[in-house]
Amino acid sequence: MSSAASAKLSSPAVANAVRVEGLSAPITVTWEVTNRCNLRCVHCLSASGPEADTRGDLTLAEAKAVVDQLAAARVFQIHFGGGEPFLYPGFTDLLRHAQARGLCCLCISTNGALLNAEKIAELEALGGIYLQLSLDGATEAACDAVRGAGAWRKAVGALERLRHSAIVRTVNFVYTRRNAGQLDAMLALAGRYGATLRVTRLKPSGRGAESYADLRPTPAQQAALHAWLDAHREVLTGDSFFHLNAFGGRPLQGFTTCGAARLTCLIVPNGDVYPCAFTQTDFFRAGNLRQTPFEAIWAGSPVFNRVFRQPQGGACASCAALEVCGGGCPAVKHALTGRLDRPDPDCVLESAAAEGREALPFCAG
Amino acid sequence: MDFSKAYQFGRGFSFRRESFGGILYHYEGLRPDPRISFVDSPFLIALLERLDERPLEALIAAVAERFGLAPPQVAAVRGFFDTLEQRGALVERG
Repeated sequence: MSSAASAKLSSPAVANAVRVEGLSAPITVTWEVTNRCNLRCVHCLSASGPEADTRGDLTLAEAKAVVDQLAAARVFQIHFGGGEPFLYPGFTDLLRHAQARGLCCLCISTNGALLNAEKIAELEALGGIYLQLSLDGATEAACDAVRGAGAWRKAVGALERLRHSAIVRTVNFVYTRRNAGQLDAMLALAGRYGATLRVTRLKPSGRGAESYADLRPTPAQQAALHAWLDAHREVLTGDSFFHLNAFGGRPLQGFTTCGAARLTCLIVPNGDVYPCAFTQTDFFRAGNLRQTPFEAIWAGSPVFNRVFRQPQGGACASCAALEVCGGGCPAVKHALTGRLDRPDPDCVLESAAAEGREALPFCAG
Repeated sequence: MDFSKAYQFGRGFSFRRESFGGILYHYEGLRPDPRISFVDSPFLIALLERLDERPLEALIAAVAERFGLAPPQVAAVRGFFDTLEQRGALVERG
């Protein structure tokens, strides 16, 4: 019976829904409730910071109405982020409302600075909370070089306060050229605090576009990461490294394709909807929740349907690795090349060809 | 598991029908267990959709009749629900 209920995409109908047509509603909606933040990280995907203008943000009443729409669509999970979501006025009230509407998981990405004992107790009482704490280095120097002075101490302080909590939690680590050597140390750090390590890909979005040239991992670091993730399958990735599957061997854990507009989408503070958190440009804007109901945007957005819910075309269509790498990340492609029909700029096969290295397994045939 | 009782999904679990079948979701599904499971068996979907309607034994019997399940298949279905209950996906309906 286990084969009847598995996470495999072996069924053509399942694979088609996940890779092409999209689901009837997202599994997860990422929701940046505010761009205000007490930090100003150099790679912030939404260019958030203390100076963010919040005048156009959804009010708490509007946000609750959006939750009602997501619940009606039978979305399973809301992933709240920002900015720092705990700076959104009435955030805990919004969480309570979401839970009352039957959302079965509320994930919160936070820098941890506002997670005092009282807030942790509040979240524990709510239940169904999954915390992601951002920490971009196992040492204060490595982390604060990216996230700003004091960020490491704030996050580790929160992990310390969470040490005996039942709240499910991960330590989120954006893998960059500067911290690439810290994977083992990050795994150990997360373990010390009862958290699962979650490694994610740096993408040229928000301030990440400005810092990308400096922080983008080298091809050798990409290869090292692939080998490390293959050896550490307990580490989560938010499905952000599927492009590395073209190295060959067994695919990394998680999906082997981009889920934007098919399994997930993004809501930003003013109610605009995008395919994912890394596509916040006019080209990808799918609609606004002040004008259009969520289900209408999800089902009818031209950018969702004509750009994302199509079989992979372009340069990757005939590549033997497409099945496992999904053609890479559309957000990275578009940000760096302005096109979606090119391989991922970090395509490992293209890198190998450019460097004159031996053909990888997928090139052999 | 007491099949004479009615069950419902435990906290953090949810099921949704899709064009290919359905999705069973669990928010604590960190590895090694997947957070989402794709369900493409028509009789399992029928069972999961109507889970809290009546005692599990009666529900399985009705679905087995509707889909013409043979005894080994019914035993496998019971095993599937046992596993779900052991994982906390199902709790007795209050």
